[in-house]
Amino acid sequence: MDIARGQRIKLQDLISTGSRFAVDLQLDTGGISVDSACFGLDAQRKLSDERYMTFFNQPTTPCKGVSLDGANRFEFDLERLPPTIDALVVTLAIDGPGAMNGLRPSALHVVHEGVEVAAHRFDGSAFAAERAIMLIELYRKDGGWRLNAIGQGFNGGLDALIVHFGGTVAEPTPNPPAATVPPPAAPPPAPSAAISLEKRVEKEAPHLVSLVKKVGLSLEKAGLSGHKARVALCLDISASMSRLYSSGQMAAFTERILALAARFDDDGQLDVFLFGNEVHEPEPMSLAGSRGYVERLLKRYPLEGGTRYGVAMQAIRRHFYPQGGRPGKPISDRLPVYVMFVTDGQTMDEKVSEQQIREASFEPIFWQFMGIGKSNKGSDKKKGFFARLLETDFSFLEKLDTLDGRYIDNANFFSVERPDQPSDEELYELLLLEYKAWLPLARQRGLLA
Amino acid sequence: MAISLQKGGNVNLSKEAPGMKKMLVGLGWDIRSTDGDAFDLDASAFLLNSTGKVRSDADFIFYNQPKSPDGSVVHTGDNRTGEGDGDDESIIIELDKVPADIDKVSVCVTIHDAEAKRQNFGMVSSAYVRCVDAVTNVEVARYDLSEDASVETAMIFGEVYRHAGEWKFKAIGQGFKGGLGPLAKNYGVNV
Repeated sequence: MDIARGQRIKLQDLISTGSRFAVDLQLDTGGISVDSACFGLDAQRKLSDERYMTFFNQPTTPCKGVSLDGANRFEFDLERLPPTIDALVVTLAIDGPGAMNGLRPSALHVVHEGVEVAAHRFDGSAFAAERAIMLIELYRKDGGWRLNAIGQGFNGGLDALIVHFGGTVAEPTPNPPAATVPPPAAPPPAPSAAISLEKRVEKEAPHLVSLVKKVGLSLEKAGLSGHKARVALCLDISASMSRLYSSGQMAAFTERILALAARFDDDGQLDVFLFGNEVHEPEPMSLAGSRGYVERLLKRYPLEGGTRYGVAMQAIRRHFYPQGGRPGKPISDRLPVYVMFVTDGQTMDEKVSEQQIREASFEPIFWQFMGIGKSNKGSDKKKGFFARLLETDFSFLEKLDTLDGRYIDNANFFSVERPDQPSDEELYELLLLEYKAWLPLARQRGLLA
Repeated sequence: MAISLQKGGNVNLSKEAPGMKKMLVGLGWDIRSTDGDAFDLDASAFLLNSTGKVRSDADFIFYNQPKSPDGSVVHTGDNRTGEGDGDDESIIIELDKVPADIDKVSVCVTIHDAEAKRQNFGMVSSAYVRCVDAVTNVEVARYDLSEDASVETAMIFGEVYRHAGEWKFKAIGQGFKGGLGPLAKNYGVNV
């Protein structure tokens, strides 16, 4: 039989004998990446015991009443479920970009003893911007089980779904606690959307898993968990950077920024800009293509003579806001842009750069400058002439950091002697320090909607 | 303690609430908790004669015609989203004023724009109908429809009817194909 959206039926009308059956999802997602999960809920329809969320990271409940077989088949044995589990909701959540209105004709089949006994057909036409949907609910009623085809969901995706079921969205715990008693009072750490990201990282860039987790912790500390932004990395490829590249230090640093982008960015990609005398926009850095990315770049874009921040800044601004704005009028956007700007020396186009950063202060772009080299800031004047010569002069970047004539303070600067010098934790803390202060200001001044 | 009715069950109002002159039929449902178009449910009442039809279009009480000519049946207004405490919509019936040739008042709820919004009662949660003494505010009977609501877009929630000189209420919980228009037509209204 066909089960329509909204329909309720007694399960015994489908499954005449026993309590075992399967729910098979036949999805045509049109390229959207979708994860299925089954939530085991209490009588208040809350996930009071997180072990009853069945999904790829936790493919079976402790009682074995619900198991995920592969990606899209749930096996049920209702008699095994404890009486505290009052309802089971089969859900879909999008991992990555897209919305449920992109679903092509798909179906949920109820299979009993190898025979399909019912099908619930659905497609994107029933949805709009939902990123997570509840397909069916199986629930106890009058001593039996019933099925309701819910067909409703949340634009907020898996996070919103978890909140709906009374969970809090927190950092995922890699191994769910093996407590036999459902955790009281404090809401259990329910799996979050971060899980789907980590799964992706595991699959596409396993060497970045721990880095991405560290970013998550730093973001949480900065009160920015769940924050979304577009991330760009702008790298100096002037000849003086040669040693930093050949030693692999820049490749390692780039991966640390990619991890930030993976957390921030909807598409998990990092837009990369290179500049020396000219500016280049190579292919963005993706998780899957992260290994050897910088080495490949340098083969294609050899180091150049010259250092011009201004042209690079202009290219970045054009990339994100090709139309530009009216002079002196703020551009408002939904997502901010975080630009990590890395250089080892002075620019040759100071006036252009100043102009760029002033104009960019009307845009929702935050500029994080990092100078590599020994800064002569606060340098001891008594040091010998040669000693001072070896130090790098970042006075211009310091000036940019505090430049006047801007709509809001849109830049920060710090310097490191070597890009691998700050630990991961230190680096991410530095990267977020001023950014987290810029965000509310940008919102207040109308740069962020 | 109000009587809880199952689908098809009935209660003798004259016995359960003797002296009740003015009855409020309260209708409620939960506000949509998921994303998407809000559920806009409309209550309506049909004053029906012994053949189960309206005497005239004036016996069809709904948001655009909130009062019967004799004033015995009044629709208290449209709540667009189901938000707020208590009943979402209500119909007030002054039992003594109901004309003698009216045998039955059918209380219905339809989903506005259901087809365009692709909504049905199975997607609405916690729908109920209750009978309350409008003067004492005492609830006499209640019928929780959630388990009986499915793919319908129009539903007869309950009926207030005469039986052997007394007023009774019956929990109907039956769907009707189509929306308010076909439902009204079925009761003899010229739509």
